[in-house]
Amino acid sequence: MPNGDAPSFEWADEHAGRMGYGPLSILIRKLLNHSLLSTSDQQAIAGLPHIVKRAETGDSILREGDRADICPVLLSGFVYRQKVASDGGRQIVALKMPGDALDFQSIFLPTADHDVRALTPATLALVPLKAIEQLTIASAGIARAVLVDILIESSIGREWLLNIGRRNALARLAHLLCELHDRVNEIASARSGNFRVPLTQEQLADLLGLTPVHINRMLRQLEQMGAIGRPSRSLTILNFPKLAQISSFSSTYLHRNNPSGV
Amino acid sequence: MPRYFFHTTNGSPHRDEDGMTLPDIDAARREAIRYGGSLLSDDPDMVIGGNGMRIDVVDDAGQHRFAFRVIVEG
Repeated sequence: MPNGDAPSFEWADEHAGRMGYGPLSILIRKLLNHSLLSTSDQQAIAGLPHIVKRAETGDSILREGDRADICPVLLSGFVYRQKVASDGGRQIVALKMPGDALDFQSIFLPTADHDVRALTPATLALVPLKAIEQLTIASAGIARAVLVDILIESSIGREWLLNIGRRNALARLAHLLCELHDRVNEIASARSGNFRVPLTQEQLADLLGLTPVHINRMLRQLEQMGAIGRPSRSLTILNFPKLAQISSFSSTYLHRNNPSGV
Repeated sequence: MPRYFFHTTNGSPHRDEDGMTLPDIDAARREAIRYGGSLLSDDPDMVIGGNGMRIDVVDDAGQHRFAFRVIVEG
């Protein structure tokens, strides 16, 4: 599963045109998925100062120990958070999608406790943390949206802990694929069609706490069940209901359509 | 890097058609043992009341390199 080439996620540009809010409109849309934001709040976010930067696959975006003064917002592509053990063993602890702010945490906890790397070629808008902090002080709605965003990431982290600790290999892999399917749909709606999962078998192994050989076997099994396709060694989701059945997937922990966003 | 195939028999039969490229035979040994451990962790019953679990590792020349076996005695 080569992941050197970018999946065709150029939603940022599309949203920029439609909402008239510029590159950060994708962040606004992501926040609107879980929080209400007034028009003036949306305009304030759209007006955040930023510079746009390109990252290539594998590029380091944030390193453990760094003291960040910018918060990258992912405009296109995928990135992951990782922690590395002293013997070099790596655990991928989060995946971030277009529209995600990558480092709200550093507003409150200035020293990075993990690495952030590009999973695919990615476009980032680098926003000064101070500017975001000022918006959170000026607007209770924005402060709340930032808080909810952080809470949802920790909810996803708890689900991953359950996934890695207690689900069997097949359900573990199927569950991750269901989550990715839902999270991609959230930003891409019908366009994601046959969404191509931009993770290699080694990365899936490092994310799910399995060995690459075990991952390969589980992929084969899901493929034989018709749940996924593997055209030219990539990975696409073909049958979401099947994957959801295998993993007893419930999207409650993603807290979409969070009703109390006032 | 050489490619190794990890075929399992007994408790959890599976023929590995894809294989995995690994730096050397030592890495293949570690992979086989971890893989076996992971299979056992998923389904401990697979080694109870049968012939245990067996992973045979074959290189890309078709040569059998080693086997990893887990059996329960008594």
